[in-house]
Amino acid sequence: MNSLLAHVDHVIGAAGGSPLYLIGTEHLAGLVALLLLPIGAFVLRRRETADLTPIQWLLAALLAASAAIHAGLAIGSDHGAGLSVLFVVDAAVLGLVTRRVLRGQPAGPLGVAVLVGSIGAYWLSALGGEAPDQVGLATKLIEILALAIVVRPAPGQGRLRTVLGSMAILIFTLGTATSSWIGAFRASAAEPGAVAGHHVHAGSVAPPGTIFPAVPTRDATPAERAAAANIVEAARIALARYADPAVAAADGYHVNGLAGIDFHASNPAYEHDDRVLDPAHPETLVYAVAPDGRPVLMGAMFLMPKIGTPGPTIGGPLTVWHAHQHICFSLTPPALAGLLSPLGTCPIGTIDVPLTPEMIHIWIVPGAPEPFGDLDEAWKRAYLQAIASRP
Amino acid sequence: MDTTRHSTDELLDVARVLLLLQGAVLVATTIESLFWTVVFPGAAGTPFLMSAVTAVLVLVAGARLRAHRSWARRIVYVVETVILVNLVIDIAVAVVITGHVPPIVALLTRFVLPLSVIGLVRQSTRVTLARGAVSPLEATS
Repeated sequence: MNSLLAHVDHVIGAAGGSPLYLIGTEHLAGLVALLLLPIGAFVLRRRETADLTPIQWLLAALLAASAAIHAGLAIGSDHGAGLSVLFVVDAAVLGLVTRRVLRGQPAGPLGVAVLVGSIGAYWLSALGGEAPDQVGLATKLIEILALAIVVRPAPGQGRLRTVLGSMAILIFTLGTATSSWIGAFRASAAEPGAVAGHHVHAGSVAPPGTIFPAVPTRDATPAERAAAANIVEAARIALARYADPAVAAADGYHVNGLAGIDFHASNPAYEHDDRVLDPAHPETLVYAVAPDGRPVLMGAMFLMPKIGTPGPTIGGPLTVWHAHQHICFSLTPPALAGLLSPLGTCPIGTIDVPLTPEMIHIWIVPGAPEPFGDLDEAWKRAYLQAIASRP
Repeated sequence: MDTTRHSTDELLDVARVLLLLQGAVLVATTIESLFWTVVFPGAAGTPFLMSAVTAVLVLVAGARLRAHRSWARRIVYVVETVILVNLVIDIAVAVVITGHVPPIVALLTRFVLPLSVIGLVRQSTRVTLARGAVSPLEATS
């Protein structure tokens, strides 16, 4: 329960991670309804049911769970009357199919239709920019499993039916994962926050893998502007010598395999030296490779020594730190291997790192549109192109 | 649900459906892993390969799971154990770092699913042994 409350707290609180890994407050009613489902089953236990096989019991339980969640969402959702009606219809039809299964009858075309419709509606909602959350994803997995039971071939129906049924489940699973990724990123793009580097405000939707800090919506004071400008200038001077990756390597930065336009060369020794935002000792240097193959030092990334310790916002809302969540980290060899999937998995052989220390980027390249936060991709490419065209 | 009165086939029927969903989730994970390898220049290819192999093993073992096929059961036990061990490590890391367990969906796909499959396969083996459908040596080897 503490874990559940912790997830919920992230949503309610001003600061938090992507809704993809959390329980949306508007979906709590669905969870409550699911928890009340056993009471309903207890009340109805005297009703006559057929002698069911384990898989029929499982199907009935999955359909009933989905029906309960949708009924809860109809009551507790703030998505508007139209969607509430759809939730009610979905819950009613799922309940009807559950009753048929409990009576020993097949779910039939109605069962297939309501499950496919429910999963399809979720896809449309996510593709439309609705941020997916854990309740929605769990419900879809329940429905996909129910669909797998419904479409599985009866004995003697042949290999083709088996293959087609398996393909359908694969497609529904892949579609759910893909639409969830798209929905999560679209929702964050619709409400940009720390991803743009500054002017983060409460209510911003974080993209998957990123945690926004709580930053007040106000302009920086003159003192904060001066402090921000000073640290950028100090970094520009102190880091000039690392324009040559060989010098960086000599100081302990991991520049091997330098490639791409966002190469982070870390220095493990500096990650544990307890220095905070020291322009001369950044924990990571950021390089890009120009089209002519020339390495270009773009800036640095500063890392807090401990997880959960907030970074010093010396420039107020200009110097916004961020953290990352649910990073899949490979140990063979040590490397970033992605983000936790909406389906709850990291690639096999990797570890889900739930939270990183806070970090901030400072860009020292001349003319950078933003000295802190994320550097605009198009600007970066244009800058590198200009570098390459120089003799 | 009282599983002791059900036949091996009925129990394996459930296990096969669970393995199909688990295989589909692993295929999705494999494709995502390939995507991340392209997005992050430093991302390793090993997790992609391991995920792909695991997905194939789960799907093949699931499709071939029968009472008399001990190799399919062995594959299921090995793969589910790997997934569970991986989750235990993740839970330990999550509890130490954040003080709470991984998200609900992760617990469903990496705890409830593998544990249910292991339980069903074990139970089906017991039922098989009890009813003498196959020899004990064949069922447990």
